Amino acid sequence: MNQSGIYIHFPFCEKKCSYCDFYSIENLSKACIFTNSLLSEIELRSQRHESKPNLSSIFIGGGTPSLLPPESIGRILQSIKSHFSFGEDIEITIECNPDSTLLENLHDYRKLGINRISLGVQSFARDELISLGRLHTPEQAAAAFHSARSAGFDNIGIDLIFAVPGQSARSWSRTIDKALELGPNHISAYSLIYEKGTPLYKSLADGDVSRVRENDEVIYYETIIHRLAAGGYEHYEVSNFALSGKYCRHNLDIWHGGRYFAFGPSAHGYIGNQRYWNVRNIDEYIFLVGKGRLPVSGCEEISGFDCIAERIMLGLRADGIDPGRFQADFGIDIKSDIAGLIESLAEHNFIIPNESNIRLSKKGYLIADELIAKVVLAIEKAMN
Amino acid sequence: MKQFRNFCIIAHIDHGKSTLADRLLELTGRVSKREMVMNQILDDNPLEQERGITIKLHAIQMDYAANDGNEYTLNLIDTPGHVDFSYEVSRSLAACEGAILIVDATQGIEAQTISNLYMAIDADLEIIPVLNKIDLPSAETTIEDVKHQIIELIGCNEEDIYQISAKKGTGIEALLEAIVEKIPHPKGDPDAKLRALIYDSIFDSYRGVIVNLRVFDGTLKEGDKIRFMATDRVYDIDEVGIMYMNRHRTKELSAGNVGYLSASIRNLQDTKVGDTIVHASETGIEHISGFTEVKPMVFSGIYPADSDDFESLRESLSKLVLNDSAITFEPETSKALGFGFRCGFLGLLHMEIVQERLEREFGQNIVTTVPNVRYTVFKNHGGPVSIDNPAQLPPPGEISELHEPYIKAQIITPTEYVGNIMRLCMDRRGTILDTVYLSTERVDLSFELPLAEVVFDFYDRLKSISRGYASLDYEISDEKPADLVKLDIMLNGEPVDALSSIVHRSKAYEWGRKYCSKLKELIPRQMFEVAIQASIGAKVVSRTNVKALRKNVTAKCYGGDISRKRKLLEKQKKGKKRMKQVGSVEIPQEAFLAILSIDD
Ligand SMILES: Nc1nc2c(ncn2[C@@H]2O[C@H](COP(=O)(O)OP(=O)(O)O)[C@@H](O)[C@H]2O)c(=O)[nH]1
Ligand code: SF4
Repeated sequence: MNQSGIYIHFPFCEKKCSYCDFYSIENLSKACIFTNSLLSEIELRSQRHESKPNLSSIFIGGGTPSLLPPESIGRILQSIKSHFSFGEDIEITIECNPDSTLLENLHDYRKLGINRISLGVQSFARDELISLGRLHTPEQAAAAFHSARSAGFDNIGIDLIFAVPGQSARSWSRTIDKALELGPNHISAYSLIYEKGTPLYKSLADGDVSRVRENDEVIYYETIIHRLAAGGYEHYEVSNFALSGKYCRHNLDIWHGGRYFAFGPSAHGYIGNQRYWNVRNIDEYIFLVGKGRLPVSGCEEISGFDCIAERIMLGLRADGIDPGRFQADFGIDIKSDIAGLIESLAEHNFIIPNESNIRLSKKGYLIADELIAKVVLAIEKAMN
Repeated sequence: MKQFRNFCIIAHIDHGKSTLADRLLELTGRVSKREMVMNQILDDNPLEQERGITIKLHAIQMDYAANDGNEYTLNLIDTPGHVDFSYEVSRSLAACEGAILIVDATQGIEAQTISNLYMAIDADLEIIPVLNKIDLPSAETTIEDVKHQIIELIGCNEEDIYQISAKKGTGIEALLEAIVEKIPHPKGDPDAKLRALIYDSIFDSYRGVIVNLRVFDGTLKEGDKIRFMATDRVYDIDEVGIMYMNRHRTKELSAGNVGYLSASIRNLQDTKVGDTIVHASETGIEHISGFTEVKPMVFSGIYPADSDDFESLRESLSKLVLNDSAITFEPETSKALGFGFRCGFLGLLHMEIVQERLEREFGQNIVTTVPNVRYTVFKNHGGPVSIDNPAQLPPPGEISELHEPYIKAQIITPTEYVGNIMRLCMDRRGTILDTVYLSTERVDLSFELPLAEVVFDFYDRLKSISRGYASLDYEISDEKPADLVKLDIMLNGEPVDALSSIVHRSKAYEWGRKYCSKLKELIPRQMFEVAIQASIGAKVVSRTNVKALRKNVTAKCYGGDISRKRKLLEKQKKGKKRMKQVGSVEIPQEAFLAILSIDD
């Protein structure tokens, strides 16, 4: 295998969404210097490895990378190409926001080798888009989707958010209808999280908005699982669904413990056995790179039990753990070492154990965090 | 012997005992002003400082040149300040000829002080009444009333009361003079056969047990072969000395003096507080009166949160016992909690201290079960048995009578709270024995109460219904028959033995109900619904449930930030580790003490 991924963080947005705690700023004037710094970072990082690492995916995310002129994206990809070798069927994704997705840009993306679009739709209900602080309308989202199709993209994913304040079962169901109607190859459906420091968090604290009741949130989640399953989508991670194997390769690699390089402020990477993260400030980023230093803000070595815990956590959140590989890698025979737990979880329908895979059921996904903690603890005990 | 003065300070918490001790040390030159910055020398255990109580006893010797031109040796012996430790108090009083009674001029006398004062009077000590904190402006309005309380209590004259400010140092010299003049010098015969009283012993990891003692007759020398009468243990003395700020070797101690000895004693149990030390060769010597074996009154199970830690918990308990001989522990098993220990404590506070020390000093992660008292069970067949664990209670059919321990409680309170306190005590199956007005504003109430009722959250309730003003002291009186039943808790149909308790029949239903709802509050939602039932025998008296966890997943896009996710997982794991898995149910440690926090 030995393939890697690349994640690029483009830290600019037209306007911050009310719920978002990703690192991005609204002042686009630094976009140009940023691009240069990014190229330098790629250069700097590449000096650290001798041969050209083989890439299976590149994910250009952010922020809103669709704000970037295609020429800049071209320069970035060019630079990557000179330091990495591209796998045969490399998947190159760019995240786009409906309000900044222009048809001519989409054509350019195709020419640059980008073959997957991730479209930030979030909702097809106008009022929900407003309360999320999104800049686009439902119509713009649909139009952007069609543009991408007409530009020739046969692999498009869309993001949806549920449990938005004020959301009703009906409006959620209509969003799902609309999504199915468009027929994207991939759907991510996240439940809204009130992150500290966001305007939405403050509104919640001030009592201006209220949380969707837990019961409704559960129903919304179950609804999308059922509806997408009926639509032929495979549920392959807590929040991710794909048609005919069109998993998001970048994410899947991450969840399978794969290596990935990360470029751009606040980006997280995993190389060797180190997880590292870049500084979360554009000026600092530009400054450090300008000084010829990697803009890394922290890192941790993943070894020993952490590796095992990550594998379980990521595996169970995604499409399961392969007991054979697990034993080969860690010398732990999950099936017999924690047989009691596996049995009782299976009996109650939280997990689906097969010969070659142990994965969560629909019911299990709903309480994934609880189950993961249980399994990790049980393994830890079994090891002592 | 004429130059010795052995005395202690009787005071309620915060009335200024430590501050006065500091002043005395400073004035007698035992410590310099500079050292005084590190203030409050007597309470040197951090836990004691935090809780504002003194657990372990200490003594300090001072030299004082009095106005009469003579040099005197003053031994200040510290006394512990909590209800659970009244026997220890009585033993340190027995080592003194006098006591300074400190009362905060702005607060008045508290129950604790009164009961210690009575003990001191019983022990024939000369009492020197002192009003402290006279520098406070608010003392002006209260001082007359407080004086009257004192006069009423000890029958002294107003002129006999010393007025000081320990903080400012006012009146301390006059007090030192009074100590020399009023407190009688010890009587004893330095040439008689040795008799010394153990009033405390502590464990020192280098030298073994250090015995704090008062010599009554004879002389104690290094190299002497001595015997502890109660335990009949014989040792050769390594070192003898007195306490200044630190131990100070003197090689011998003679009648009337207070000091320490060490003799490579490994076991604190050999040196029981109140025991008499004699020369090993001597027989037929009379015991210094007042020795009793302290018995634990409150029992609870202490289990390792992780059953693998059983042995390490045993080790920690063994180490704890080295410097707190009042704890008892023996292994027990619980169906729910596995292997652990049934531990005995002097009282609830003592239990809390032990718990805290296990966690803080020894890093143990423990589960403590509901404390209970010791019951005597009279069976239809066979003799009486005593039980200290609800699980040991035989089925009701086999019991002819059940007896529980009672206490005599003394509560001193401002009059306005009398109603509340009466209600609380009646609620706790108490009977009032006596009401004495100490002044127009303060009453001394005596009750007889089942100890078990006091163990359950009584002290905190008392404090809260009296806004912190009422104070409590108690002593064990006797055992009485009672109509008690065992209240069992079942989780998902399985009885959890560690949650059982013994309660009075009249309260069983209400307790069952409150217990269930408290558990519902404490047990987190989990994968399955958890049915909680309280039952007496086969009869379910209350039920409720904890709904199954519906959703617990962070469905969020994290990008590649796996570290953050793993940290969340670690947090969750930590939370789970603090829980005890009983059958399929995860029970948080607090739940095992839930019954303590049920409101009346
Ligand atoms: N104003 C004033 N405060 C005092 C006096 N004596 C003690 N205090 C304060 O009362 C508090 C309790 O005193 P402390 O000696 O620790 O009391 P203990 O608990 O009896 O040992 C401390 O904050 C002292 O500073 C005094 O004479 N005047
Ligand atoms: S567009 Fe995306 S990255 Fe930008 S603020 Fe909105 S959610 Fe955040």
